[in-house]
Amino acid sequence: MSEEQIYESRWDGSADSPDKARVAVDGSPDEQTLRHTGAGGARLLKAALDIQPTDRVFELGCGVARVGRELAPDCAEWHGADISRNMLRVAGERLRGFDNTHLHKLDRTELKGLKDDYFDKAYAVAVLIHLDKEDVLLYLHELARVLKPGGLLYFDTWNLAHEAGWKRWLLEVDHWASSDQSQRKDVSRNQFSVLKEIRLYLEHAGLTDVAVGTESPFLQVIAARQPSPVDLASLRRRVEKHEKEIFYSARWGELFSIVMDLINGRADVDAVLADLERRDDEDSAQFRDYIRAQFKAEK
Amino acid sequence: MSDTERLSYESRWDRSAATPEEALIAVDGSASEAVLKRTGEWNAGQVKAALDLQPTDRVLELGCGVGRIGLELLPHCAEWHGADISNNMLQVAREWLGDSGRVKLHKLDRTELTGLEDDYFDKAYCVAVFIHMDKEDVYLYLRELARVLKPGGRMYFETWNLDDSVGWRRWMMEVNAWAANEQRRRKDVSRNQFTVIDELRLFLEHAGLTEVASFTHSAWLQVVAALEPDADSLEAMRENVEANAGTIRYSEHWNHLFRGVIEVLCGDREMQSLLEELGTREDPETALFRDYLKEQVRRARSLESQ
Repeated sequence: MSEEQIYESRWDGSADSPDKARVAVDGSPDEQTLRHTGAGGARLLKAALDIQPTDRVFELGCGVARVGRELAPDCAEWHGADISRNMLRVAGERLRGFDNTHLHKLDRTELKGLKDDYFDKAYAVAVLIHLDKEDVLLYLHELARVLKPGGLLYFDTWNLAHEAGWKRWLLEVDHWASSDQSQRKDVSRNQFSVLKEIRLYLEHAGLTDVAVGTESPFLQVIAARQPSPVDLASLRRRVEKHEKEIFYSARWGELFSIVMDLINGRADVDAVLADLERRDDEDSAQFRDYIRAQFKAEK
Repeated sequence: MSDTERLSYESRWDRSAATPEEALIAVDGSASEAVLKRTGEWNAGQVKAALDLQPTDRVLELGCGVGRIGLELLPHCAEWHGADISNNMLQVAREWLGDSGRVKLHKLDRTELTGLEDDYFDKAYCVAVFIHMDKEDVYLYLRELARVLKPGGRMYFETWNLDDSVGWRRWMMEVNAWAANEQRRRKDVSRNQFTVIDELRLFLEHAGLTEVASFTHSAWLQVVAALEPDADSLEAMRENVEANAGTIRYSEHWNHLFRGVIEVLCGDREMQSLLEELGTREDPETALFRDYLKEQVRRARSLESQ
């Protein structure tokens, strides 16, 4: 079919079976892995957003509810929205038994049907990385709309100013440079930002920047809708206290950069693994397992 | 096929330049050759000053279109080369400038300066071109421009500045158009895209280019960069740009005038009210905007009466 891929059909195509949907979300090969990575995501969000049992929580781009499945037991309501009906079908199955969850099918860059001032917390993980900048801004406006005044938002996107972020972007650039360019770029390809740009979006969307993590290939942003000065100060103190649970460390960024070098053939997998064996930090251990699985298993 | 959204970058511009008249309008919205000549002179003045153009220089324009700027620069350099993705645009450029002797036109097929030699040009520039491109292409072209420049060579380019109130306003035209669209097709392949100076600095650095100077206080980011300049020549380039800053940069007044145009385009303001504001002021910027706008009005009326 030569039909043009739009954002919706792109993700529906990646999720036309539950197995494919899971892999498209974060590469998890089975439900057990998905639960595991979902739990990691949920821990980060609980720390970033201080999720309370009374909170109404919203996820933009929820996919198969990888994270929502793990957050639903700990909040009053969990809502997930996605452009792909196929993703939502899988999400619905995974959320069976939770009567505090709601799924919303999106048709366009708009949170249609979602009420103003409804949510205490909102987040978007590994979603804005796939969007054109027009859509990033429009969704931030919409997220500000559905958040209560004082509500909190967490999101991440690719950080072009970080060494590993730049290397990740070069994969996109090289891919395009070596394609025959008779077709347009992938509608869901990875796109990248610098912090200044994100700050402009926040400001114009009526969101206040609470804290930002910039030490890794991901820009991680915590923002609030119209917080009072007192609230903002206490939000910042809280984030500072939980910094390590929320923001990827500089070491994590370094390890990501090494993975990029492996992909580009600029590093030797055995040498990298040997080095990681000698380290005992948690990030090194996590990457050691990941690198083994990705770069050694296929041999 | 009427679905413009599916077009590649090349066919997008070929269609906009299907006739010489359409080509003129596609270049900068000028509704007549006379006005196009004046905007060309204006941009050529900026380029000349930014690059300190010399009679011995070999110059490359990326995205030359109909050769609007090249026509003005040709008398002031040794060789002028224009590269463009659109055959139809180049056709018009060929009529205007010829394609022999000191002029050479290059048809591009992709984000690559295919057929252009390494280390060949003293100067290169690119005006109102990066504004239409995805970031991947902007960066790839900067790398290519670095390749074809001689060491010590200089380049000038501009693109949309998101970190400016008028630049932001201009971007909101794109955002609002998309928000109002039914979104069953992709965004226009040649729509206007925007950036901030931090991002351009990353591109320059990774493309091996040194920032000589940049102007960041208008809707346009204007950048002068050099390939591996030695310390003395970098210093001299900076002094030159500073001495010519008044000619190179879009002034606060220009930005104000452009804001007026955006307001008219968005329907927030009547064209008549803007023309009245411009009145009979004879400073060159106001005069250029006034003539540009009057020509638009004249063309719109003649289209209506047809």
